Amino acid sequence: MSYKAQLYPGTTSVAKNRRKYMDRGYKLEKLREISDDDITRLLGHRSPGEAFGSVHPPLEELEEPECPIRELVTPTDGAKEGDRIRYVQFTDSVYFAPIAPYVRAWSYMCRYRGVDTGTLSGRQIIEARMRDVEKIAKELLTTEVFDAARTGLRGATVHGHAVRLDEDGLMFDALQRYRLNKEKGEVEYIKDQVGIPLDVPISVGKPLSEEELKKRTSIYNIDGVPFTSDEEVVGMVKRLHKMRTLCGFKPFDVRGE
Amino acid sequence: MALPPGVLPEIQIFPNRLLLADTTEKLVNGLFGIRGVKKITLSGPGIPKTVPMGPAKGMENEHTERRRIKVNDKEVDLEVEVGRIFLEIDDVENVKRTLSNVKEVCNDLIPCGYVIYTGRYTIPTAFDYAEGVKIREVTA
Repeated sequence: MSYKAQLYPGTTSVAKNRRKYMDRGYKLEKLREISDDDITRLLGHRSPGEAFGSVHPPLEELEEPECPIRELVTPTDGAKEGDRIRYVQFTDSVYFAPIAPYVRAWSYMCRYRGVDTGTLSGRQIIEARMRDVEKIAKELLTTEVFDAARTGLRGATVHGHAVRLDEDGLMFDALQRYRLNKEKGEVEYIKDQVGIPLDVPISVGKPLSEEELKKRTSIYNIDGVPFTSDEEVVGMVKRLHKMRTLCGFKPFDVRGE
Repeated sequence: MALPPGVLPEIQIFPNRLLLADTTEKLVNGLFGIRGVKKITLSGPGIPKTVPMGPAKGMENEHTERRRIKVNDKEVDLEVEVGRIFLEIDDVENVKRTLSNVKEVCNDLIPCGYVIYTGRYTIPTAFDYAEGVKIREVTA
């Protein structure tokens, strides 16, 4: 590229964290170790060791027509093998979760190929070929974008992102997929992402402290860094809204803007 | 406090965190004994009995906070994680006295801090109507 992408405006810590998570050149800091088999169990799409489901034979067995786009684009590992599309979904608490739904979407689009991402106010889903989803989920669960208490791995019944934390500091979960092991001080998942109980609890480590979360968060919050305090971001958002309104309503007035 | 006739005042306790079942049990038993408290309503995000949607739909939802609590020797099903507690007070004149007793109990039993409000927050239910509370005056 002839220029360096700016990614996101702003001078506050929240803006800097957003740029960090969106920058594919930045390696996300690893905070915990979860084995590949445990990731597979948490996602619940297959059992560890079971074959990946497929929708078509591997690409090398297919006789594909000659196409310059097919030659240009390298298929992902999952696409090469013909895997089914599966998903992983996260919920981020408004109380200083490391990453927010829209920031997840921007981050996924910058970092991963062959994915479809959907953003809603209370949840954020990423769909990809099964083995790609497992690889992506491993990165998303073991690095700084996941906090044991303020981020939830939830495939269904996601309510809780905007609700007060409970007495243990965990985000409310109607299905109680995770709980705090008070002896170890660690959060353990006792159900997979859709609420099916696991045979053995899977630890995702200790929750970060409130101070650490406030440094790492990419959520604007009146109790932390208010949105209005970042003038560059407010200016950018106002300009975006002005331009989209003018473009739809009075396009010729866009000249010179 | 100006309230319509027949409507009783309420004290609302808003904890800074959602209360777990053990804390709720102790707190409700503490509040139950306060003179002037006519009714206690607990509200908060619901905990379903079975998984409502997805591949696990219909399965029993094992949740440590959805359980029976004992209030004044009676067993009550707790189906929410408590976010607000509404205490209906038997008379407007008693609110001030009851408030100081409620604060004493909350200071001991709510570890995470709380905020207290007074007013009227809940609307009469079918149960109140059966007890004789007039929901609406109908005039010819």
